[in-house]
Amino acid sequence: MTILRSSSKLEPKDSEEADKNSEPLIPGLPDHIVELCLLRVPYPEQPLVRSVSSSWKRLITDPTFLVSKNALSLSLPYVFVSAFHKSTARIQWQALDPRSGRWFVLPPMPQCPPGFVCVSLPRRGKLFVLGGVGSDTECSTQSTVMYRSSTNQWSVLSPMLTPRSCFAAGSVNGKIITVAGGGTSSTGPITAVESYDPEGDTWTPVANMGTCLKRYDSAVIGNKMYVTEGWTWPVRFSPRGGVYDPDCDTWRDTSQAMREGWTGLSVVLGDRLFVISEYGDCPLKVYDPDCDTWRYVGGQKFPRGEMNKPLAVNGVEGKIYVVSFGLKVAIGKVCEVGNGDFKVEWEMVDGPEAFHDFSALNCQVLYG
Amino acid sequence: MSNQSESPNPTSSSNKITLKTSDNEVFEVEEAVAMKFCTVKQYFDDENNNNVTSGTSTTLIPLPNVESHPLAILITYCKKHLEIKANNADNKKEMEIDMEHYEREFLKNVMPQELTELILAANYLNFKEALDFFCRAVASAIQNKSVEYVRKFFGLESDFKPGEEEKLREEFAWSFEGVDED
Repeated sequence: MTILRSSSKLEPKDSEEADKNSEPLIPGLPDHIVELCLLRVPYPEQPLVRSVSSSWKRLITDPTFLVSKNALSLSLPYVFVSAFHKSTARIQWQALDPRSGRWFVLPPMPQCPPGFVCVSLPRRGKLFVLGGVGSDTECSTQSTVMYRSSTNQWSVLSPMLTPRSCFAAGSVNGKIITVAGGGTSSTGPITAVESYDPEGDTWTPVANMGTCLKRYDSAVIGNKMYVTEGWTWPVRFSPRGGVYDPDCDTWRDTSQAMREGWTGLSVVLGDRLFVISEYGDCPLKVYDPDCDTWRYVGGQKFPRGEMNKPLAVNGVEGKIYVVSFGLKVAIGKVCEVGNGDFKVEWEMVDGPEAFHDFSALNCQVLYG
Repeated sequence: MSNQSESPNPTSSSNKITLKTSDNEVFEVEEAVAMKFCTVKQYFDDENNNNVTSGTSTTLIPLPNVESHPLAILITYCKKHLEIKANNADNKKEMEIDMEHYEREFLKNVMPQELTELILAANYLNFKEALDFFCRAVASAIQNKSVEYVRKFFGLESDFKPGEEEKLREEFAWSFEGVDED
């Protein structure tokens, strides 16, 4: 279990607590049956369950609850979006239930330095917000905070070893990898890479990437993390990048075709890398690793006219979630049509009126 | 709910199995229905009962942990479940729609106290589809409700320390908005 530093406290293990444990969750029903019932309460309703009694709260905040929910295929994906509210200059997180179209606002982050980077462990219901530029010092920070869907709380974790902002982050084999980015005024851009183990709440330095990039996008495919610079203006040089293999702790080059075709927002579905191109009609492309080439995805065109920038994207289980200004969401259902070709169908979910001047910063998918 | 299970189906030639409840009521049900109750099925497998395999006479199975009232409801549910499945053998989606419709109607006639009885009976009989359905029913019964409603529904009292509950409410404020009327 993760050691939580601040907002969540360890439950006292005194005799009073032991007495409470023996109380039934619902009088007249065995606890394991009540658990079967509460496993079927969807994530947005869980705060209600936590507020009923301390035994109910203990049951559903236990990390094994989500494990059981996953094992029984009862957990569902929710779309978490961080957004900048222009008129109040605040950053707020909210989650969308893509099945009902209902949004839920999350409690405020304990700190939210601009330039932070987000990454998640979807099946564990954990979302990490890393680094960023401190508002007082205007220097990159080592900040590491985590949101857990089962408690609906933020907690502050062990800080990163290196202060950084605007970097690449990914989750590989249950660990979080942070790559390069902007450092402090004394260090300048950094190439250091580190790995976070959520079980032990520890950061460990790993192999450096070697080069600093102008900006960072990344994708985890299988158990490797691909980092790219993408095309940056002026388009004079081919974008740089690399791939990190955490099993061997080594970096190597990615193919030129992969880097050059990576022309927009990336999302991984299954073991395929998709890119919504920033140019032209915003075509959706998929990288074919066997032929080292990009292919256009068939089906419907991305509804770019309805989607105002900035866009944030993520995906899971054959669905791409693109969030636009005003938190309008385009859900792209992707399916393979054979021969390595794919097609997509887009469905729009309008943003609520309350979010009309919110800019999407980041999108993550968590199971709850 | 009426005890429909006692009237035999004239068109069916399958075996009948007799179940005896804790309150000494006797139910004669089709083998296909009884086999959905894994506890009953297990009884057969263990006993390797000759009467059943010969297909001529009925067997009496005692169910010391199940009363007649929930059993009658479970048999009705089971029959309907098998019927819907048979009617839509080649269309899973249609089957799910029919089942959903039936379950919605079914719940309109079930009181909260009955739900507990049904869960315990389904659990004892190890009738998986019914247990899953009743657990879903409990889960949806508390959705969009207030904390007070949920406590009253299950006969629970708050055991939070003073102040702790207020903190929870404040923390989860969004979940208390737009709840249904109790």
